Amino acid sequence: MFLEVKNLTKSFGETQVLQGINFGLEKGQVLSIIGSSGSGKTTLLRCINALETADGGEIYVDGNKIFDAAEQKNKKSKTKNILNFGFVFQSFNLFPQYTALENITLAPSLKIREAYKQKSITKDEMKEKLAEIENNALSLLAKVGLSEKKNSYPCQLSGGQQQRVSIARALALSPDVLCFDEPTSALDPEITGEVLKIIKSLAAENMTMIIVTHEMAFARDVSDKIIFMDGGVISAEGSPAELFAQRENRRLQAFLSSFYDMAK
Amino acid sequence: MSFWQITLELLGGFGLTCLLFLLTLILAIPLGLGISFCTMSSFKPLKAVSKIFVWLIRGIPLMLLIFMIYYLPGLLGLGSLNIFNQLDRYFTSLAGSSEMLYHGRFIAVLIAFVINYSCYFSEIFRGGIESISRGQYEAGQVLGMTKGQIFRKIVLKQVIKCILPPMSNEIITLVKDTALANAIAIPEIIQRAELMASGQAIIWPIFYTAVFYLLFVGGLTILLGRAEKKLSYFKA
Repeated sequence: MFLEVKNLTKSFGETQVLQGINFGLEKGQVLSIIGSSGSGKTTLLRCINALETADGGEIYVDGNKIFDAAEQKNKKSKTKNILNFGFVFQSFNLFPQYTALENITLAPSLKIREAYKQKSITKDEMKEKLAEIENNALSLLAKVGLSEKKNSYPCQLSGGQQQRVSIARALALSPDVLCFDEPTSALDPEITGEVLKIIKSLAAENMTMIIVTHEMAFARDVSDKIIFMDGGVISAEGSPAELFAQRENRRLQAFLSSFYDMAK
Repeated sequence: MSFWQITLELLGGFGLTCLLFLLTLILAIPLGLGISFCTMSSFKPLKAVSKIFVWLIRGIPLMLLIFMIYYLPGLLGLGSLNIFNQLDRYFTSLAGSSEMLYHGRFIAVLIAFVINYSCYFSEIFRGGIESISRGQYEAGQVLGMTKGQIFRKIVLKQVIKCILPPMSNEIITLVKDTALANAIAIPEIIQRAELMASGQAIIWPIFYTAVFYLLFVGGLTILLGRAEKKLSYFKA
């Protein structure tokens, strides 16, 4: 398994939000996490990305332990964690004072400038790498179809455009696994398509992804594997065909039928 | 006294106002930032102490604070004479001046102003920093940025944009509050005008002082307005 999550637990005060989560994901696979609000799916994604610190459990990427709740005091494990994952927020969280292009180049160029300050690279190397970062950012903007918006500020972009920039921003650090936390929930229904299209094209390029979503049809189309969470545990999992065929899981059926009802 | 003599005399007093204004700003902004970090600290005792401090200072009239700073060292038994007056004498003899200088008293007023304004600023800074959504910090975090980088590269500019209007208000109030230096006989502009009124029976210079304040505040308003406009290209 490329990504392995073992026995992850997390409580907020008295409420145990994650009650021992186990799953694995192969390289190039797409995993969707579905479930009703409060089922713990966003918390799971945030724990994997070190935005929350899990109380128990371990996470492995490519055989390397990147998180172990038992050694949480060790801060190095936290930074390591960050470098393996990209994260796309529900509410985009673009930096308002920077242009679309600058949003993408900010973090990678800071790393290069830091390396220069610590004298691990020369000034020429720095300039070369900064130019590389900018070119990479431009090609990422082209990939999400926003080349002509490179100098626009977030407030000049629509929600869908902002989310596409934020996907490009996450890709700029070439993460092993790209995570999406309800990437279309803050968008108008008619523009969710433009974001989903990008995610589909990434899936076609074999990007390893974890997507927390309420878009059932999309999850069915794009995923290699779906996890249904309910009350802090994985209630059902499998390929889309397997999962949607699990008639005996009442919670899952109730959850899925609520979507069909809405569609009617 | 001719119009120009009076203008020059008042201008001398206004120089003191400007000096007090500038020094207070330079010292109270970093101190206020420090206090705001204390009031937001997760270390409870530090948070409690700093919050009580801010409440005390904001609750005491600035004029009273000036008196307190001026008299407190003496009351605490630090020298039988007022320490700030002693400084006045020291500087007077150092300069060989025939008139009594006011450096010591000026320091007392400056201390009171810096304490007072750093507390007001700290609350503005706290409001500004707390208005930045958690998502901005998290976005920096998942991009592997350090805490320092997140503050300097992401949060700071948004905070500045957010606090500029309330800071402009406070800064303009500061200009006018400098008149309180009057309370311990520092010859700032209004005191000089008053002396003319009582000594030479000319009243109009008192009204004339308003022109100095108005011009200075007008300049500040233009400057601060420009800064706001410069940051208007984005929405925080």
